[in-house]
Parts: sequence; structure tokens; C-alpha cells
Amino acid sequence: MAKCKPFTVALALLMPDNKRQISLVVDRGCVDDAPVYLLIFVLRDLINGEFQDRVKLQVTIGDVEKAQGLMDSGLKQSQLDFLTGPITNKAKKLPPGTTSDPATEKKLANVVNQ
Amino acid sequence: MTRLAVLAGAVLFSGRALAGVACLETGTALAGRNVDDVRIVTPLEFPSPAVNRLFFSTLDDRLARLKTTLAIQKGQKFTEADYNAGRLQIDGAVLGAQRERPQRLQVALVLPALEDCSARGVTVVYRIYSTDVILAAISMVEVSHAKITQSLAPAVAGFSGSHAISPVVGYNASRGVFGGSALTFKMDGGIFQTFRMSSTVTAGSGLGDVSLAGGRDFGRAFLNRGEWRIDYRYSNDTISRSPTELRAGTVGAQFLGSTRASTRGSVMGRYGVAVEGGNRQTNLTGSDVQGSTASAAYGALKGYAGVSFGIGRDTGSASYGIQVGKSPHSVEVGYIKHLVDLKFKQRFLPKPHVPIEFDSAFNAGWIQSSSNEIPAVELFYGGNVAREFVSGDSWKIQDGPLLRSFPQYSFNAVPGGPFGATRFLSANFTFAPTVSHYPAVPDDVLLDPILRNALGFQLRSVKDISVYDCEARTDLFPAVVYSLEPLNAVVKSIQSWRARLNGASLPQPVQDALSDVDDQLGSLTDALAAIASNPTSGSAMPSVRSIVSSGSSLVSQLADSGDALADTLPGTSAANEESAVRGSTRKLRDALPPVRDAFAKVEALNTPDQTRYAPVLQRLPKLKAALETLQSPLGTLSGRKDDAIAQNRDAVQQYLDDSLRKLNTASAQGADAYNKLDDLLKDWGNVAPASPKSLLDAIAALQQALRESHASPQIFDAPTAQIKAALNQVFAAWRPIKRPPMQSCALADAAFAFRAADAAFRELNLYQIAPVAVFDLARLSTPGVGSTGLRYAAGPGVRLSLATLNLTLGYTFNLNKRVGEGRGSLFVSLDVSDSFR
Repeated sequence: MAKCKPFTVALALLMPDNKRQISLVVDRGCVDDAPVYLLIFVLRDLINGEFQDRVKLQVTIGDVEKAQGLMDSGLKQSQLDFLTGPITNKAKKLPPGTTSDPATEKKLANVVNQ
Repeated sequence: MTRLAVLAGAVLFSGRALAGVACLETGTALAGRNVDDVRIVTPLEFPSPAVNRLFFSTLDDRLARLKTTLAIQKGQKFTEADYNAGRLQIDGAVLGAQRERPQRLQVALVLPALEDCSARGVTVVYRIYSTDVILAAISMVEVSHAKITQSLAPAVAGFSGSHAISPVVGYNASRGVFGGSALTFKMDGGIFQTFRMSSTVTAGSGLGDVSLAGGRDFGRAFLNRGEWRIDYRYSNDTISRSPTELRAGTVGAQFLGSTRASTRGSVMGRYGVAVEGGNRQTNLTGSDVQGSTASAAYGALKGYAGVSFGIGRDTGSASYGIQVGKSPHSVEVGYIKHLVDLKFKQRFLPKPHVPIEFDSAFNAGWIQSSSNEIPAVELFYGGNVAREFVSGDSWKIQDGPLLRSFPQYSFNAVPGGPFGATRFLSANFTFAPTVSHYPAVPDDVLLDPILRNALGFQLRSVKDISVYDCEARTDLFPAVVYSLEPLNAVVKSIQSWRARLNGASLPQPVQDALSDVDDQLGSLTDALAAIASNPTSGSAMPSVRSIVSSGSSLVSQLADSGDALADTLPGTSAANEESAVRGSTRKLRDALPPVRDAFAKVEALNTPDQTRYAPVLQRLPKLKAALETLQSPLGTLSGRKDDAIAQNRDAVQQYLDDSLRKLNTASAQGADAYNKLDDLLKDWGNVAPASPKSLLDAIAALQQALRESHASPQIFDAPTAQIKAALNQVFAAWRPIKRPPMQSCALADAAFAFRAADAAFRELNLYQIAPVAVFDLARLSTPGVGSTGLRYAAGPGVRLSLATLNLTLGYTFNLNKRVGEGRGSLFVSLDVSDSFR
């Protein structure tokens, strides 16, 4: 019987100024019945009345326990601060269309440690 | 209406799409088998493809396009890599949907599954549960879109111009079958955002209206949202079995304001004014218009106020309306009308998706006037359709009695008296227990451990986001904003210093130090700008945190930069720049403590006293021991291959693992006991109970499965009793502990999300059918003329509900029938359940 069950939770927040949206996806895949956690972060800006993806980053979380802890606890305030603060600040300095930036991805991977 | 009827007919005759049987094998073990089918399933998927295409074409098309490009395709050989790649493609589609329909908060869950395994094949299913598709279901049949958009999606940023033309078909006993059309045109920006025109006609009667309407969110306590409207309305009503005609032409302008909803009980105040002018005409003559005027120019000033509220699943409203009408013969006040309207909708949910609804309404009205100063059309009269005091969708106040045993407006005179009356009262009761339904989210999914955990994750996140708003609303927060002012000058001086160095040729160590400074300076500048742009919003709080954090880092990085400059820049230039940076560092260091102090005072309101949780932690070992007693009976089922038992056993195992993991974490992390005990013990609404409670639900389901398979469920009785006893002891110690004020505030603010999730997952049906029993009583009276006495009506009916729209039809008998009156009347009503408030 398979023990690992895959799933995806996607949470999107519209910032109070209605001009920026961030999405955080927590994705659990299963490889050989073992979980693999992936975080996807998307920063969107309102351009000409439509939200457009500005930055989309994806990191694999190696520490499965911490990733599971994130699922158990929800996004804590410190993690939300980290997402809406340092990560968003760093991401918005990246050129539009960025899909990979090691420095920001490293920061994103740290969200489970906040 | 036509679409609704087609939908109703289609779903009534459709069978329920059954979920497949989950495979026991892992994805790796299935490699090489044929992919028999690939399905993408959403809660909106009806069993009939024709219905899906008719109602969900956009969504369906999007999913259909996605299906053709999935990495895993029907007919291929199965690989785990393709299966996982398909899930990531679905993730991408979910992200795309969130971009297309931005809302304050959106959540989506994707549950992939491998089903119907055979020796040769496997079916791949991706199930998507998203607030987007559920809201799409609601908006499809929502009469008043504002009700949803105000509560769940208040911040949709602009919309494109669009128009819609829809047919209107209806029936009532006075007008018979009537038909017409409505045109709605949405406009970008401006004072008015919607133009609407509608008309319905039948032999001898007609209704029409043209309106321009607009609205705006003001975000203030007493004016959270304002709506305005100018319109022209015309009506020519006939009365069943009577030659009487009632005609009205009205030009009106109105404003409706609503207050911010209170966090407790969702109490919202509403108020408004309207100015109306036009004419009121009847073909009544002689004694029929004694005390009133048959035809006259009409002018009135209306005012209204009220509250709407929600307590759990129950909703209600209380309204008062006053109309000051001009005399038919002059501009002086001719009459004053008063209306009181109380409405309650109670909704019991004995089990998910099977609500029992009880609606009640109490109305009264009276008119003050000197003789002959009232247009006859403005008097009180009623029947199975109630007149409305205010035009438009947002706020309903009943203007006359509702007595469903009389055709429209046929309840209109006291015995021997003229047309209409100057006083009325009525009470109406409707009881509707659901007997058939098609849930938006299937019942069996609700117990899925992954779904419950994912919903818990989302709802808990909503609570933590709400903390920001609570903190920004405290009396202490303005002091935080005030404390930031000196920082602006310091930041400018640092920016100026950095600008001077930009042109200099600097060695690498200095450039590295300055790069760090730039990062922190950028964060600080952004945060200050964010607070300046919206100093009272919840978004300011993370910015303040960012300032406290990046400010401290900047102090040390500026010091490092000063050291690097002193080491590398020669002579006077180095001395000047070093002096400048040391000065800025000192100013920044001096400016930060007041910010930290002010911020700490706000943070103190969100800081739990961890020591108070010691008694709870002391009781956890007993709960752990009780939980572990489950392992033995579960072990006896490990060899079972029976699908129902195996699936329920796995759910029990998963909730047991979740409970033990969270319990162990809470036991080990006393320093964060508050949060870790929330992880273990807090219910995140009814859709995501605490893991130990879900465990008990899963055990009950497993025991039921064992009973149905004629196996013994008693092996779980003793462990269940132990777990319940231990859990009760833990709850007894945990529940009385008071939460920090900001946490309590955030939980109250987030209650709307809990209710919405509960309504979407446990209540919302794509359709439901309920038999209906109605009972009415009403009375008309005019001082000096007489009274109808209390008139009673009762009868059966049926209610068809599509998402939140209720269509009720039935026949009501006139219980104390008098000479010349009918036995009863058919009635039809259309209203919206406020399940998502």
C-alpha cells in the first residue's frame, strides 16, 4: 500500500494596495513512495489592468520534516513576514520574466526555517 | 431563468459520478501499465457533458486544453515521472486561474490519485478543489453578485466592459405567465459602473426599468461601501379576478451605505435615502378610493436603516423605512409611511450537505395622513408577491403584507371598505428539509486527511494574516508610525552618501560591503514607502518588522563599510566618507530604539504567556499513551484488502500519525507551546477539526465499514474511550487559557473565512430539493373603516436550490376563506441564501 500521497496547496494573497499578488504553492510529490516537497513562489504586478507574472521561482525542500511542519502549522507570521518582506523585496528587483535566481531561491527555501 | 431551468432538469435526471477505487500500489510499482484514462475533476463537474459545456464552458475549455497537453496521456505506458509532471502542470493552471481572478485570498487544492488499477492498466485522476470554481458556481446563479464580492472578493481590481442579455420568464397568479428580457452593460470606471434595462410583459400588464448604478468601497467604519443608483421604473399591474389596474411611473435617485461588518456575529449596518417623483394612477372610482386619491402626481423622500447579521449558519436582518410623501395637490407633506421588516433564515445542518431550513419574516406598516392625501397605489395591499420599498438588489424592505393564499395584490381591502389600507402586519414561515442533493464537494472527500490538513493550513494562514490588520487597528499603532519619522531623514542622508560613492573606483572588499548596505537600504526604503502610502493598513505591520530587522542589519553593515573605507580610500576623501558613514550609522542607531520600543508594545499584545501552557503539556503523555493503544487493533487489520475497510484504516492511521507527530512536537517545544498546541488541538472551522478529533471521526467511519462487512468493530471501543477521556482532560486544561488579544482579534476577523470554507465544503450543493411547508398570517386595517382580522394561509410546496439561489413554488390554501375569495393561490418565490456571509 502506498504511504505517500501527493497533493498541492496553492495560496494566493492580494496585497492591500490591490496592485501586487503573491502566490505560494506547497507541492508534495511522491517518488518511490517517499515525499518530495516543492515550494513555488510567484510575484505578480498589476500592469494595464491585468496581473502579470513578474517572477516565478521554484525550490525543492530537502528537509521533509520541516516541510511537513509547515503544513501542520500553516504560514506563521514570521513566514508571512519573510514572504511579503525580504523575498518579495528581492523578487521585485529581478527582471520581469525571471524564472531562476539562485540567491532568491535560497531565501525562499529558508521560509521553512522562519 | 431559462438556463436555470435547463440546469435543474439536467441534474435531476443525471446519475452521480462515482469516484473510482483507489489503487493500493505505489506509483513506482505501476510503471509500465497502460494508462486507461486521465481525468481532471472539479467540484463543478456534472455527470452530463452537455450540462458542463452549457454552464462551465470557460472552465471546461481551460481544463480540456490542459488535458491535451498533460505529460501523462491516455494510452501511454504509466510512469511515476509523467504522473508527477502532470501534477505540476495542474499546479501551473491553478496559478494561472489565481492570476485571472484576483481576490483578497484564494486557496486551491490539487489531489492526484491513481484509481481502478488492474493487472494491465490504471486510471489517473487529478481532483481540483478551489475557491475559484466554487465561487464560479455561486456567481453563476447569484442574484446579487455584491453579496459575494463584498464578503469574499472585495478587491477585484477593475473589470473589462461587458454586456449580458438574458431572458426573463416568470409566473404569478395575477399576471399569469410573463416574459421579457434584461440587458446589463458593465462600464469601466466612472461614477456609474452598470447600466441595466429590463422589461416583462403579459396581456394587460407590464413592468420595465432602466437604471444606472455604481458603487465604491470607502473602507470607513460607518461607510465601508456606498452604492448609488438613478432609475426610471414603470409598472402596470392587474389584479386577479378584478378590473382594477395599478399604474406607477417613477424617476428615482438613491444612495445606500453600509458599515464595516463587525468581527463578532458579522453585524453590518445599512442606511440610505431616496428621492422619487412621478405619478400614481388607478382606474378606481367612487367608494373604492374613499380616503385616498385615484390618480395623482407622486413625490416622496425615503429614508431607511437597518442591520443584517449572521450567527453561525443563521442570518437575519432588521430594517425600518420611512417615506414622506407629498400631497397630491401641493408640495406639502401629504402622508408619512412607516415600515418595519424583520427577517430570519435559520439553517440546521444535521449532517453535511443536508440542511434543514426555516425562514421567518415579520412585517408591519402604518401610514399617517390627513384624509384624501394618499395616492391609492401607495396604500398597503398584498398577496403572494410582496412590493418592495427600495428599488435595486442590495436591500429588501417589504412594503405591504405577504399572504401567499391570495394572488398578487388581491388581499387589498377590509370588508366593505375602499381599496387598500393604512395599516398592515404579516408573518410568514417556510420550513424546508432537504431530501435530495448533489454536493459541490462530495461527502466522502470531507474525511480525507490530506484535504482536512490542507484546509487547516489555509485557514490557519488566514488567521495569521489577520493579525496584521488587528495590530494596525490598535491605539498603539499610530505611535509606531510616528516613531518612524526620524528614519526618513537618516535614510536620505545614507542614500546621498551612497550616491557620492557610486562614481568612485572602489576595491572589491568595499564594493562587497556596499552591496550588503544597498540590499538592506533598499528593504528599509521600500518598507518606509509602503507605510507612508498606507499607514493605517495591516500591510504596515510586516513593513515595520522589516524596518526593525533591516535597520539593525544596516547599522552593522554601515559600520563594516566605514571600516572598509578607512582601510582602502586614501587621504582626505577616505576621512570624509568614513566620517559621513559613521555619522549616519550613529543617527540610524539612535533612531531605531524608539521604533523598537513602540513596536514591542504592539507585539506584546500578540505574545502569549507560554508558562500558562505547562498544565496542558503535562497532560500530553497520557494522551500519547491513549493514542498508541490504537496501534494494536489497527495492526489486526493490516492484512485486509477489503477496499472500504482498507481505506478507512489508512485514514485512521494517517490521523493517528498526524496526532502523534503534532503531540510530540508540542511536547518537545515548550518555548512555542502556544502555537504547537494550536497545531494539535485547534479546530480550523468545521472543515478542518483538530487531528485528534478527525481521528475519532475516522475511527467511527472505520467501525461503520467493519459493521457493514460483518466484522467486529468492538476492538476499537476501548482505545476510543481512552483517547476521548485523555483528550477531554487536555481540552479542559487548554480551552480556558486566554489568548493574546491580537490572536483573539485575528480569530474573530478570520471567522468569515472559516464560515465560508464550511459553507463551500460542507453545505454548498450544486442542487438540492426540499419539500416545503408554508404558513402565513396577515391583517389589513384602516382606523375608522375596519379590519380584515387575522387571515391565515398554509400549504405545501417544493424548493429547488441551485448553489445559493432558491426557487420555491407551491400552493397555499386560504384557511379562513370568505365569500368571494378563492380557495388559495399558487406562489413562486426566488431568493438567495446568505450561506457565505
